[in-house]
Amino acid sequence: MATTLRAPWPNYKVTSILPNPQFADTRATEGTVIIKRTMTGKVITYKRPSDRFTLKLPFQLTRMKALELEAFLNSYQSASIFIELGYDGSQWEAKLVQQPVIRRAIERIGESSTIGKELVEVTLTFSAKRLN
Amino acid sequence: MGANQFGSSTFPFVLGLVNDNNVTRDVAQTFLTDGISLGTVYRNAADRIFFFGAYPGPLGGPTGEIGQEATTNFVYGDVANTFFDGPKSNLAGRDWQVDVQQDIGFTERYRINPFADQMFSAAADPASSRVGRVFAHDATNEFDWNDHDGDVAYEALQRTYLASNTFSWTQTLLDTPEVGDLFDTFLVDAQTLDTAGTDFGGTAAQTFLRQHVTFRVQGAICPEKEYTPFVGESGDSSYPEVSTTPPILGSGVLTLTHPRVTPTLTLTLKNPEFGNSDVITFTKVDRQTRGGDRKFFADSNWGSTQSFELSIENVQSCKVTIDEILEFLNTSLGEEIGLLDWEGRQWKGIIVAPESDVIPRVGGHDVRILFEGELV
Repeated sequence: MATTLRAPWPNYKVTSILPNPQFADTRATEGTVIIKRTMTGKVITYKRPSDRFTLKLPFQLTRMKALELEAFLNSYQSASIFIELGYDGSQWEAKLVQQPVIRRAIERIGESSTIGKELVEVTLTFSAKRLN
Repeated sequence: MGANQFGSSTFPFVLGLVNDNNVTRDVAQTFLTDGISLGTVYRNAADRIFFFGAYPGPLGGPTGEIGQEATTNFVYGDVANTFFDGPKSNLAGRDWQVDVQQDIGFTERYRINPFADQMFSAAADPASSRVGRVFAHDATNEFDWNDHDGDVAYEALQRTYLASNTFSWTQTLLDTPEVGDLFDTFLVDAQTLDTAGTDFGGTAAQTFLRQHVTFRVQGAICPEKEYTPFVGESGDSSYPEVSTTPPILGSGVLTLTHPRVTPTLTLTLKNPEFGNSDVITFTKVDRQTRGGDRKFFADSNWGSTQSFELSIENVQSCKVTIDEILEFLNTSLGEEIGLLDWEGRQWKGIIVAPESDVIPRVGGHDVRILFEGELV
């Protein structure tokens, strides 16, 4: 299972395969509401519905995979990107909405002795529309 | 089907394979003469196949139609039975493309997307900018060229002029097509493109119908860990190319130089602690429509930079004194410096927060550097 990014959607040119995102990836609606109350207590809501969702996908990558992701994003930062999340099969047409922060980290493995494994943490934030 | 029907008995088809290094080979011909090495195929994490038929004359006219049945069936059989054994995943189809070669030395590319789900999703969304690029779809599973002919032709022509020698493959007639099972559930059955009343360029000398299929071959090098972007050989030229060659990383010691060209001041520090981060900074326009859709625009000429936040601890005073660090920050204030990072990559840019504290501690001092720049 993997995460597949393709761009530009729908006329794909580049496909990039990433591992599954880490736990605690999030989805949120993009609809907004403004609530007003009149002097008599009546509630009036102004809403802007949206069929888009905000996806936050935290990844842990190897350095080389992170470099591939950098190259991918440098080319398609403004394009529609097709995302398929391998763990649930959902497909999305998405656009990158935040500058990705690439953090170099080290993962400690072991209990009595510790081995460090270098990895790269990246969180991608998309505004996405579900396709399936 | 009309006079311009594509069919295996009329048109020669070529099956080819392009690997990650963009080395193109005529697989069909290779197989017939030399055989094909499966190792060659499996070495690449994401190979792709392509096939196209050639029609030796202009398309269009009062009864013109292009049918895809013969083409796809033909290639199903060849692909499934001949070359690619083993598990596949991430199957994906790309556009059918009709390329018209004209005497003027340009190739006009018309895009036809045969995949119903994409068609429907785009057609069902009136706010989508893609509506103009796809074809209307009716109950009989036909794509009507006429409805959006002007839009499509204009859009495509603006973007994809190609040299006329794009398709200089050797064409080979193969045996009777036979339907394999690899792509059965994947490609859409029997679609036709109705070209009645349209003209794909009256002076066209040759017309090609192409299809690309991408997939990932499992069991090759791990595409989730290695630098393995799959890059197609066609696409929208308005986006910068993604290199298929991984950057070469070496090792080094964090070294700042000023000025960048012919430096007179050099500051060699320790490499930063883990937890350092860099941010890819893009310049793009982000607008949300009243319908809730988001529109982005970025020009490939608009640069992108990377911002580093580096934390260096325990810089020993016997090697670099605080005064030397402060002198460098003061001298290079607002000016371009060079930065050689710990992976041996050379950057140019500026220090964006020269006022960061340098903190003396037992055993050395701590430095924090915020740098914004781009690779040289």
